[in-house]
Amino acid sequence: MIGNDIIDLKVSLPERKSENSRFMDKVFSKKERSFIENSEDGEMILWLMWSMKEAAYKAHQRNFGLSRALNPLSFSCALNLSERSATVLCDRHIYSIVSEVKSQYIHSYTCREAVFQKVFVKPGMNKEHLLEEIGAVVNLHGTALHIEKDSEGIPSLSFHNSTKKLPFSLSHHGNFTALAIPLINC
Amino acid sequence: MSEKDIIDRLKKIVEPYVQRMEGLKNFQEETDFLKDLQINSANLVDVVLDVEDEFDIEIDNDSMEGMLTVGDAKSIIQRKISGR
Repeated sequence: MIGNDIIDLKVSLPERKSENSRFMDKVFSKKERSFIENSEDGEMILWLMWSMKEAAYKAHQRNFGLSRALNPLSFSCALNLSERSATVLCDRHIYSIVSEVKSQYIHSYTCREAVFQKVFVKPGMNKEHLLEEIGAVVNLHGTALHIEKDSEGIPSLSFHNSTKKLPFSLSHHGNFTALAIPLINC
Repeated sequence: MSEKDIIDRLKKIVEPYVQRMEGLKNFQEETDFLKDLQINSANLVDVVLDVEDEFDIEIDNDSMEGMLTVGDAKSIIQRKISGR
């Protein structure tokens, strides 16, 4: 199941959330907090873990057709810092997450299946451009594709002249838009 | 505290986190923090904290989980105030 999350670090890092103990209490478990507090760059690790939990949340929500919820404490993140990967556990289900960490952004996505992922700078990004990019991955012209969202806002890709739907995950933050498409049936 | 009073104070709280300003024009119980106002989920946690401060209440994790619309927030605030 697919899920992704992008963090624009220029927006997030100045918020100095690691110093906000009430925020930390609502978002991270004791174990996660101690990992963050013992890290050299706690502020960065905090957002890395947040994005991993978010990517897992989206995959979990899609997987079980769940209603939206603001429940970061239901997702517990065990980080492997050297590999920039993590396993995130929710309700006895395990999600494997990997992250691309750059100076300006963090992009986390689930990685159980092969995934195409790409990060765009948003000002140059409109819906047509996004569909063209997706079309290049699935070998179809962008105009043959539609983005559909279900009642919970979970997106899928639908095709002209076909009832087939392809799940994909989309995330926007600050200057960035990120896309993750599982490479199945295409 | 009247419902209108709660909703007016809520509007002031969420304003700094709103990404889609048109969503504020019609600020009512059905207004969805994520879909209509495009508040990101980390900032929605900030909204929860600001609501705690503004109304002098504590929002437990179960309540936070379901605080996705203005109406959700209003009900939680009313419940917490009456149980204070």
